[in-house]
Amino acid sequence: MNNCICLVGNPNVGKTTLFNALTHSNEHVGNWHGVTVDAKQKSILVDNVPYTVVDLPGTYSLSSFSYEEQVAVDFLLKNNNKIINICDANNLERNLYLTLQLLEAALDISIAINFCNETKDKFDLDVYKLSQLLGVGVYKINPKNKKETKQKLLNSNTKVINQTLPYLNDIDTKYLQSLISSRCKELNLSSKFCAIKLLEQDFSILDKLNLSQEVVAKIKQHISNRPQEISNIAALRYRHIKTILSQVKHDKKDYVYCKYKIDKIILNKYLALPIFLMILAGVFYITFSSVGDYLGQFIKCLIDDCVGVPINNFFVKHNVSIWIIDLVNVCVINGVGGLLSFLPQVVLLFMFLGVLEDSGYLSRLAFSLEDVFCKIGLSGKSIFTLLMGLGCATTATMTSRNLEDKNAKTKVALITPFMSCSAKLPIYAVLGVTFFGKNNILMIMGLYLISFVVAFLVSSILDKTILKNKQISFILEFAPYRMPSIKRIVNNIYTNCKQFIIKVGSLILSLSVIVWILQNFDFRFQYVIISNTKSILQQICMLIAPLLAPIGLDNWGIVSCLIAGFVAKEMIISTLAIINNAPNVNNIVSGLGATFLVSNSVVQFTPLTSIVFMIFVLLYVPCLSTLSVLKQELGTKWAIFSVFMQLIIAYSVCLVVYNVGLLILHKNTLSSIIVLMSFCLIIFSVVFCYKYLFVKNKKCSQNCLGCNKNCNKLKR
Amino acid sequence: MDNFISLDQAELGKKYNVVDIKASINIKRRLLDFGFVNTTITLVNTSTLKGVYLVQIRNYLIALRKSEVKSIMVVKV
Repeated sequence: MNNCICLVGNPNVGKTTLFNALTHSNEHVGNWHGVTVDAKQKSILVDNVPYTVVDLPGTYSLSSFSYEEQVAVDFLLKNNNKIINICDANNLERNLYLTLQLLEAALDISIAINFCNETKDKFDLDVYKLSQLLGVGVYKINPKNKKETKQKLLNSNTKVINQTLPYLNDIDTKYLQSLISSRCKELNLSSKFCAIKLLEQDFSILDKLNLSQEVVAKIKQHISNRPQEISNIAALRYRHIKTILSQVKHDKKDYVYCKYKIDKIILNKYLALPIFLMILAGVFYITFSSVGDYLGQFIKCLIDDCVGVPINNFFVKHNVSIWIIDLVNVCVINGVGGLLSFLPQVVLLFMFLGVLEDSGYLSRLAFSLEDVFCKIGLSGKSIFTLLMGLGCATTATMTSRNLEDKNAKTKVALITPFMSCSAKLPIYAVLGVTFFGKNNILMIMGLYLISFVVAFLVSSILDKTILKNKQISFILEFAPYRMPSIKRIVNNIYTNCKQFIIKVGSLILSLSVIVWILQNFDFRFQYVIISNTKSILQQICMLIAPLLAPIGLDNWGIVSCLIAGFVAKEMIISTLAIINNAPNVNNIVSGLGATFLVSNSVVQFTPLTSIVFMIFVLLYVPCLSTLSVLKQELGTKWAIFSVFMQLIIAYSVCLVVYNVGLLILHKNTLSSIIVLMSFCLIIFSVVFCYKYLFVKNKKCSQNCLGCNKNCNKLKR
Repeated sequence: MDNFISLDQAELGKKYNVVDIKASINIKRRLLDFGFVNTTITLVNTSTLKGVYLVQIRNYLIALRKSEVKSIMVVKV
């Protein structure tokens, strides 16, 4: 490999920010631990010398704890690269712990200290002295200043003064080193480092060394005689750090990193949850009801007046055949153009998620929600994944990787598609406004609530049945509150706009054309309006439609929407527009919405069926791209499971909603009694199952010291 | 030895010294990585149902679940 530079450091010290600065990329960053979950590479040229910069997931030490840390550690130990170790100036003591381990492993490192501007008034840092004490180059960096950062880190030719770490002499590794030194040499690893890792009882190193069983047994014997060594080593490292810091760090005032007065309110026992709900409500209100709505109408007008009218005039002038006019009007201007009018809402939602992510609030939220989440078998950390799921389920599913426990990760990945992603927004907007008018926002919040409730129920059922949580740990570092930078927000808006427009312009447009063709031609490829026969789409979907009769959606138009929505959820609204042949008016909401009420259009809704439809769309199958991520993260089995699970859940929820709705609307005594009784039966059986399973899993109430939950008290 | 308590029994806002960690080796190592050795710690906050504890250690804050907090043995300063 050519000059390879790895960026290593604790989580949330700004590795990806630095990566973006060095390589002019646009990778996702956030003020949260574990945003980056995989190694990312990019090549750059510095003075005509090619470099490959690798951004690794954050890790606290060289003994990994979760999958993404394993990625980082493996990468570090496998390749002999130049390493830039990024440290957070706010939390040098803990950050240097990783640095010491890197030095123990005899890796070629230089240290970049980030966030120095935040600590100016707290302490002075003598970088030169630190560099002397550690024997490696130390630089203060500010990734905002790209040029200077590049200069400092890439052009630096500091000589490595071969400093030995004094505390290493206090760790007796002679015996272990003698056992493994030959293998270490072959693998180009430091034998001292490997021996220390073994003393820390990190046996992942044994897999790398691939020793004979005899030697392994000897090593294990040796280690089991020294159980105290692990604390000892950590203590020695921290003592060394203290000695170093006492020489280079001159405190100006006492402070605790990440401790703020406002946390008294935000972490308050009773206020934490209401504050979160208020923030969510505010975000939804701005996105759906006020700002997003107006901007959407504006864009739709723009498209119609600047694109629609001129094109139609052109067609009329040149006598273009009728079906092309129809195709362009319905597919391009109404379907795709209509979707574009939801751009502001999508962008606003992503912007708010970005702000939430950057502010440092998420780690407090994870703390407050941990109690509740623990009950349903999730970790508080999954709130990050779930909130991202409100934006886009595909990217959100990927972030589930930073959870340590595999079962917890599977659960989160499975319930993330239940979150109502931004692609489902247009559906609520059109149907909600048409049937509920001003109560639209309440309707939408209700839908979000349903998605949360279903997700949590599914998670707790999975937790009680096939995906039991192991005694998972929850260790979460707090992130500092930071002002979200305007540049980041603008950047965020820009990338999301671009992605949305590209997706709508390519995938959705081409699919819309396919749908339109299927809808307008029959099996003999004759234009249906002229030949007056049934179209291909109609004939296929009519076969499936009866299946949806129990939930009141037995309509071939709806079936075709749902099938198209499997590819991408944005397709649902554009397919509806095509099938209903929505008139070209300035506002897709009123244009398409009106056709649902007209008796001669294909898809018609009543207020009840519109609710059922929205709920069904909310809960049924993840979209194709999410499915591929699920397959990649959890395997084919789970991906298929998720499709069927979601279909069944969507169907049963809709069944209940539809029948209860019918019951309220038409007061037919006999059927209402039957429905009510079966409804009670369902609730009763759910409660019974839940309780039975819950009792079975009852945990030991005695808090014995050093309990490993295996004792006789539990079995009794 | 008698005045050792596990951290979950500690008072909020008081200083304690870490003495020992009685957890499985992986969790113990992770807690050691975070600096839970030879240092003072303070409980800053607990969540609503006391499932999670906010601990101040080495000048930063970290949230731990009750099972970990229980495994940390401390003695009052």
